Amino acid sequence: MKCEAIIGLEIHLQLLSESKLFSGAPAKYSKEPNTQVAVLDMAFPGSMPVLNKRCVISAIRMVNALHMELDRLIRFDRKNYFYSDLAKGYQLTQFYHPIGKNGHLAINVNDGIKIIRINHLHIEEDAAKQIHLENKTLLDFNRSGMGLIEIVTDPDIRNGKEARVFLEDIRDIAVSLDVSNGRLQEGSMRVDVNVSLKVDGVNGEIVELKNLNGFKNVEKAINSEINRQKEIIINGKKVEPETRRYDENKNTTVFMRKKNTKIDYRYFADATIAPVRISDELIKEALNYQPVHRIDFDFLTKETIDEINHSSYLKHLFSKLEEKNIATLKVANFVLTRVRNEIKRDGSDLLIKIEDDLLSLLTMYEDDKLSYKQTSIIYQQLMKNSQPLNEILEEYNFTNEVEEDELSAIIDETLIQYIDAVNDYKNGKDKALNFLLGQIYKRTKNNIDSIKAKELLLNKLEEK
Amino acid sequence: MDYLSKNIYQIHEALVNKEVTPLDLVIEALEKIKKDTNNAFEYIYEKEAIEIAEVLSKEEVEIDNPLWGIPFAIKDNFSTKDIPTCASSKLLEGYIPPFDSEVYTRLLNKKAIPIAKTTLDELAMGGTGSSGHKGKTFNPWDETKTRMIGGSSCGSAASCAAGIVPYSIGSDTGDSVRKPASYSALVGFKPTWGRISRYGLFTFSASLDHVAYFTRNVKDSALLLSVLSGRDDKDTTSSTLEVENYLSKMDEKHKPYKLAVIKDIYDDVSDKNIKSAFDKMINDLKEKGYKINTFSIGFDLAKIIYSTYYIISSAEATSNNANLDGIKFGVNKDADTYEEMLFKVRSEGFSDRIKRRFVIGSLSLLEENQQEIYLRALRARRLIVDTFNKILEDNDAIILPASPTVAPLFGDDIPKKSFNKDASIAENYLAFANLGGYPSITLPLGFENELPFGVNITSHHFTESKLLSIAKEVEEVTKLKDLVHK
Repeated sequence: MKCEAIIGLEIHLQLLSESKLFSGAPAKYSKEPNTQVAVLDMAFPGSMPVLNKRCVISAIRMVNALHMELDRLIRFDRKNYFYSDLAKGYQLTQFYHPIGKNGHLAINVNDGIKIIRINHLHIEEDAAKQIHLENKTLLDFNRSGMGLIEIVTDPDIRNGKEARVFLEDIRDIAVSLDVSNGRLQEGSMRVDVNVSLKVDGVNGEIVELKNLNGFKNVEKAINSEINRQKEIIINGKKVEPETRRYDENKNTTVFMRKKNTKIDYRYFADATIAPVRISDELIKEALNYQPVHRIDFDFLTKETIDEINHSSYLKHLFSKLEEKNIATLKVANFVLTRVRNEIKRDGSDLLIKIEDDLLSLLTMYEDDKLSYKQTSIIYQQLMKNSQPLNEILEEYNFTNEVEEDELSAIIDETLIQYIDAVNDYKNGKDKALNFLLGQIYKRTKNNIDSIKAKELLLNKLEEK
Repeated sequence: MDYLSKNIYQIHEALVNKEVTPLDLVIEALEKIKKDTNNAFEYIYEKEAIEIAEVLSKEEVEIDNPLWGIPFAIKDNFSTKDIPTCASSKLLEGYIPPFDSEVYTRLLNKKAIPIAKTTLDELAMGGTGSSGHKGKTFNPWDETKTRMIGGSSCGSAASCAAGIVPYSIGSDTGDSVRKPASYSALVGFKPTWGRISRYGLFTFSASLDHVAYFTRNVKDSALLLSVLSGRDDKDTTSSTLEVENYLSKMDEKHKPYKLAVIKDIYDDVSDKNIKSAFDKMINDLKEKGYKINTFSIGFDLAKIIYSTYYIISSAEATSNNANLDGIKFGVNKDADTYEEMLFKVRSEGFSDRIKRRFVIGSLSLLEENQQEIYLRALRARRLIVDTFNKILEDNDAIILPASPTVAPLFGDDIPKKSFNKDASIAENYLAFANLGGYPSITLPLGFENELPFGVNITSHHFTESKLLSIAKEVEEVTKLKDLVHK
């Protein structure tokens, strides 16, 4: 008896983007349930989908990386079925015209190269999340309408190891192209495996493996399923078409449900989204991208590192800091206290525009040419986006910090000029101190270290 | 005092001359609504309209904005924020949308005053104006209350025809504005698919749905088009083509127009009065220098317009209305499981007519039937559109009676009649303009026993200026405009 395992994979990747695939609601995970929801995500009557460019860019990158034919006309179809987590009662997907077709990926197994053909790649939307409690089910529409791509291979894989290596390669590509986080454990990557045995040239029934939560588990689950099917055949029985999951502790697959009735999804072309033609410019924009690797610094906490890697702009900015050799704790702190809030509030559009100036500013800060306060002021001006950095610097004249003896002289002058304020201070009016400091800032045009100035001022007041 | 029976420009003039204030108009509209017996309304803006009018009445009239301060009505399948919107479906009773449709926003921006949401055939599916949860909407021209005004935009048609509002917004997926216009002596206009944003219009059949509206003359129709048309990024199917100055282009000098009459449809009209009124109008146009050509598209093709429309619209409708499960909005029912709840909500919520459409639509999409029914309908659509494209390339427009009869009696169930082999072609042909997405306008043509009937003119994509120009000249020939039943 000649027996061969035939394995195909269906991989879902959650797309990294600022907003959802069609609705404009933020594409953020782990938020308060039902707070990241636009009218479309709950299918309010009359709401309409608008395709997110960033998701298309991600799909183009993957299509390119997997050597696929790109369909230049993006169209969507409807997969119709009723389910409580499917707000519209249909899923927008690309059934008839997937954006990518006929690709391949060469994987390296056992010191040899093996080509795995990829049948197609399409864009589709995610459903809401169900939370099952004891006697009720709750729905969180935050996930409803999130962008996904699905990659479907031809049945070229023969064992668990090949599947694992293939999946790890897909994950690495997706992460390096900033397409997805590709985390199997957290569900940002999901994989369904179809396993059947070909015995003496005859194809057997297909068993689907679902809910696999780790690359090693995919390998183990496939191998144990192959063994299970072999045993059935050796015992002269028939493999049933069914869906199974993997029990890690017992290292065996477990029956979930029968697969004998095929659901008719009544696919047909959607007419609420105008078809989009992919321009040469868009392809250029998608592929000109510099792949970003995972950011990691030992001076930041794990949580912060994760946050940076989850935000495509922060990740990009930190990789730029690395390039410029200014990825220090000092600069990181500035970015995390000032720039992070900006991204949260307004997104990254403006930051992208002023990026060169921002990097120059941060370099000056790192080189101690500007104090924290000065850097903050200039940053604020930059964010108004009215003038370039050199003009702002000229205007504020922050070029040199006032020397200590000059500062001392300025303080002395101030104390003489505002003798009333000095007396007020002596009489316990603390406000007078701030007034005096303000005058000193004014005279030095802010070109001083505020802590040093205050210290010096207090000393001089003591002496009076 | 009766200002609301006038046309938009006349009312605007009265506002400019300070004969009347927005508040006077709102009060007049509300009084008329109270007395109205046509069952045209879902929601009346009693408090809201007075509040808006009171503010506007203190402001200067905007001289270059003819919609300023004038009440309008809008079909209840347009989403209106904080205002109940149920599309005349039992299933959506109590639903209060969280957002405005684009058309409504544009009218509010012009400081037009919404006065009422109007009845429709349930979820805009139907042509009789009788399938909504509030029952029949009557035709103001028929005092015996036995005749329909037609649907699905029945309430919008009735409120304009009864002199309550000078214009009203509807939607047209098969003929839902252009047919009722024929039965109620109104101008009913549906511009090119994509000319007006559909954001916020409850989707029935996205490939066929159009925003459309009723006015009492062609000029008002051109005015509304200039306000409502144009790209809206929230509806990606809306066109980026530049909006024209329809009002001035409509009056430009031009060569005599070349119109096409489709013989297969014209011949199917048996009503002699309608035929002779149409013939007379054609002769008058010829005297003005118009060239009239007669074409045949073949009996078979004419015959399948309606079934093609019906299959495609029903198939899309089953999907577009799959969001109505009672979970997120609308009427909710207690049940132990999701399936049970879905079953209860939908079987108790929808009327039988809707269910019939859903069943047919679903069946036509099943894998085993799709090739034979749905995809065949798509091929038929292609054939129909290719045929009409050709005619419209060689002619400025197609002109035909808008309906083969005056407003039918209730009980003449059109859908049942529409599929047997004797089904009337002329009754159902208007859907060709939805299949092709052409701009299409109905306007009054004549009266039979004091009941109106109309003429329909349809032109090629994005030739609204030309279409309105032709319609205006037809209006001059028929001398029928600004008609209101009093």
